[in-house]
Amino acid sequence: MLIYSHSRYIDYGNIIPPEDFLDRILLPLSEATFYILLSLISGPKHGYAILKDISVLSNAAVTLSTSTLYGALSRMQEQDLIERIENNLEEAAGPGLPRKAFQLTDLGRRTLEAESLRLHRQVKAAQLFLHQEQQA
Amino acid sequence: MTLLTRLATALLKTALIFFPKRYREEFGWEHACVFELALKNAARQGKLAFFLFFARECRDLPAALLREHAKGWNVAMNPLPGGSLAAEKPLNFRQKILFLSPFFVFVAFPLAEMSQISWLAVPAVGLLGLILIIALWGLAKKLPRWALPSLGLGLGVIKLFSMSLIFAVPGLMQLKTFLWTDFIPGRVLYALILSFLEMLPPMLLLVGLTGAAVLAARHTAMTGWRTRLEKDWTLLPFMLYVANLLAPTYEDPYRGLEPYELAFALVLVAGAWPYLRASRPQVRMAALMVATLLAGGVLAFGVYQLYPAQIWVQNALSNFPRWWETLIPLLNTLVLLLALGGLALFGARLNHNERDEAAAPITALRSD
Repeated sequence: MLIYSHSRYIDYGNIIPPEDFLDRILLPLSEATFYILLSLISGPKHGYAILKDISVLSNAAVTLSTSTLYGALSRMQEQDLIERIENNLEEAAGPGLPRKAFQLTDLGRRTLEAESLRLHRQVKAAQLFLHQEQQA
Repeated sequence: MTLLTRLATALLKTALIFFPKRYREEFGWEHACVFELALKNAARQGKLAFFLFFARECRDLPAALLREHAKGWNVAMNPLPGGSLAAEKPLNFRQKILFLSPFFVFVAFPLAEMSQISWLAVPAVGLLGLILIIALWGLAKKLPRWALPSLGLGLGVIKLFSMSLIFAVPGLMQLKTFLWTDFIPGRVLYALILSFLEMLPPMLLLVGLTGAAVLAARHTAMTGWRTRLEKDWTLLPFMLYVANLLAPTYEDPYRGLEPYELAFALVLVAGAWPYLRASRPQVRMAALMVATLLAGGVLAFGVYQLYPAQIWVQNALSNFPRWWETLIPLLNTLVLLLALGGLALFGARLNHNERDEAAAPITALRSD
């Protein structure tokens, strides 16, 4: 099946979301969006936990400011990639921690899978060509 | 918490005030809370980490602020169903005449001067009376397209008459003494202030009437106005755009300026056409802005060309050099462009708030 993305069509096999969501998906994802989705794979988190996760997951290559983080979260929520839930996490018991957490939606999970596949194919293609060049 | 951390947190909380209400309600408290936690964490890692964190926040905050506001404006800029002027029925012949009447006046006057056919000005003077009737009729008929230029011209006349009152503004003469020196930026600043003051009466009138239309919508005949403005927020800047037809008359009378006045009026007519045709408000606003800029350029060019031929220049009676005289129409154009943009944002903001309210029950339903 095809996803329309940035004026080109990409085949994502069976991973893509239902037809009515397709026009709302924008691939490739920005680094911030990608790492936020990745951070939420392990379960609901509040903003601060996501911020720390991104730094760890990207090996400190991506460090977001809180403004960029909340801008991205706000946009992703509008795109239905994530949703807000009441913060029932154990760590939320601490003072000063947000009362609401973010959780991946079904669309968010599938978008992350589609992006991972896209990146994987890119890496595979690059490896193949680099390998051929080395052999030549 | 150290004093610096407290100060930085207080600064961010203050900055959050400038974010849109939608953002503040949804993320404001949490944003500040996460900022505080991250800041404390950075402070524990040392001074360098603290300052790097704070510098990154300072760098990204203005962009985030603009992005959040732009989000709201983007929503508001899209016309409501049926809101686009282009979606309305085309003007019939009679309505086209009514629409073009104000433009005709400002094409006929310079033509009469240039061709020495003075009778050309007679129908134009007669049209001025008709324009008043069209404007009043348009107000009663809830701002139809054919009445917009006449209403705009009315604004121009109001501006013309209110200009003489500007010097009654307290402190303006002292300001002139202070700024009007050999220091050129001071002079430019004074000219800009004057231009802003001249623009204020029509702007306040438009904003005031719109505000009144919104407030009094449920009780009076202004309901139609409100609906019309809600549907298309570019109507306000368009009226101010037409008021600009009178701009050549604001300048000191220049001998031989008529061809440029004619070109000025024709550029504004040309800008009105894509305004009516385009379906996207952003494109319509762009048409108004570009035409305003070009028309201002034409007028400035005319002044520049004619300057040496003016008697008062030859008699060396003027303190105003050529570059200054040329600059004035450009400064006025700059102020007009800002006013057009300001009115557009005001209208879009109004629509945005209205739509937020309208969308509230839907949002509530979703969260259920």
